[in-house]
Amino acid sequence: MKKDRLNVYQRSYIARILASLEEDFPWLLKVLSESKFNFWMKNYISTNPSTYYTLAEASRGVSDYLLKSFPDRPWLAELARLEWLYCETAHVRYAEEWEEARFDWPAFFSKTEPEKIFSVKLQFCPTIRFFHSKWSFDEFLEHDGASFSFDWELPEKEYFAVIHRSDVTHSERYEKEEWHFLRYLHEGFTIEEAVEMVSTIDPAELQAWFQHWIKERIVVGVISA
Amino acid sequence: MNISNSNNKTIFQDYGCGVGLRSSHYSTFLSQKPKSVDWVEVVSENYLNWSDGTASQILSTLEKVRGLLPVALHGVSMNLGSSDPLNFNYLKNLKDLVHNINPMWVSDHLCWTGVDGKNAHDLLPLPYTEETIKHLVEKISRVQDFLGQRILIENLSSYIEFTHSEMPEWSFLSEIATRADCGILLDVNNVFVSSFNHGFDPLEYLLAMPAERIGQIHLAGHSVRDGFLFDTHDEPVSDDVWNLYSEATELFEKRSVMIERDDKIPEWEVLEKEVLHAKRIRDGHSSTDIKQPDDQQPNSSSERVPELTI
Repeated sequence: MKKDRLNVYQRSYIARILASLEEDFPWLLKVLSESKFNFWMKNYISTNPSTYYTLAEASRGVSDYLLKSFPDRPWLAELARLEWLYCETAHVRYAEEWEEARFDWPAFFSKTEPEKIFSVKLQFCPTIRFFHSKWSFDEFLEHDGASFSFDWELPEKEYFAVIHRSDVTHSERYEKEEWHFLRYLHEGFTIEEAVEMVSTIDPAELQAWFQHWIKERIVVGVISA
Repeated sequence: MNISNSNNKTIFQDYGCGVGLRSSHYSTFLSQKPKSVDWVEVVSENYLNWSDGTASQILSTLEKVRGLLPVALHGVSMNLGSSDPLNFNYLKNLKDLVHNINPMWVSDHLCWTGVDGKNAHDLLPLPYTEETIKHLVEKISRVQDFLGQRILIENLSSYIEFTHSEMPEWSFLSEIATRADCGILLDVNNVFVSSFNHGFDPLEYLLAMPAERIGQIHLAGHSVRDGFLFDTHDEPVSDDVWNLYSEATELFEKRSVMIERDDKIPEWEVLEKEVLHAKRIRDGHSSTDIKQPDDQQPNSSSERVPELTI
């Protein structure tokens, strides 16, 4: 009887964090199956006790843990990393103004001298995170994980941005050049600096990228001109 | 039962009847501010910046709710009872949230939640000793100094007791509240659950409370386990707890009271019936005179639980 009562505390520790992990990593749960997920996540909880004051952050170390635990199956760690990015983008605060009132791009382009446009830094949607992988996670997610095999690696990495908008999180695939260029801009480089850091960009292609980023509100304004 | 207490006024404002606001009810609150609710309580940690400084998007929802209703911040990670030093990173974030939301007050629990920098994310019981009182009084005082306001401390539900406890929980809590000059968030369900689990009279607990320090009352549901009650917050408030709350309203003047549900969150309309039930008892109706909210009439725990034999 007393042991049952003590067990309330012993079980609660694992149960509470495990429930949070199940919520944060639904695809990992699907891939591993419930019994294996529970086994490995209990081990994660035991070996990586939470040092965070929010329960949500207890998920932070899952990807690193899986990488160490399954060096022969790195896609597990990558899937966990992707899922954590989903959690992160859903959590992060954004200014609602850019959801409602869009930046006036036509006015910006008409008022800014062409040579000065290249010295601007762009303002990004704050709920964007970048991700690349040698496994085709977009196909996996598209089919909700059903009958997808991780047994093979892609010959080249695939490049994604995870974006949360209007209560929906999704990932978007990019070509390697566009993805790198976008990341440089996201890290705070000017357009001119970013252009210098990638090998070659076709001006027409650059224009098409910009149109897409503006339309999809990946780029939401200009920080400095 | 006639209960009297000559000093039943409180140093805290009475805000009326509230509810623990959970994400599934955000849209209801924002689109049609329920008239039945005078204020809401939220779990502070859900709105704090993460450890890397990332601010939470749901904070903007809380800001909107705050524009409609008073908000109390209820925390689970202050870790007051631990031998660890206070986490000033946590407290700094909490202070920022307080500055942003301007809550009715801030509360946390009479417990420890971790040690050596690790967080168990659970509310763990303390030994009721003079040494623990001194430890808690010092920490609560430092927190109050840092936040610049009096905080409220909530009693736990517990399943075990320490053999070297020197006093009952009610004496321990009263002493801490008085010495630290803090408030008490009296969880009536927790009093009931612990009284059942440890075999004391819940009324004795209520009578021992320094009434002037009680600023808020929690009402929640519990589950029945094999031989003990478990504070699950996933059930409607039980008859026993309604009855005990009824006694509390006779004992103390009106206190801000709320329904706390953390799991199996029902539709708002279902929860609202409990809020209205609490309101009727608060307004002076005996719980036995009032029909339980529809859809949720739990039996009394004494009918469902086998005799406690520990």
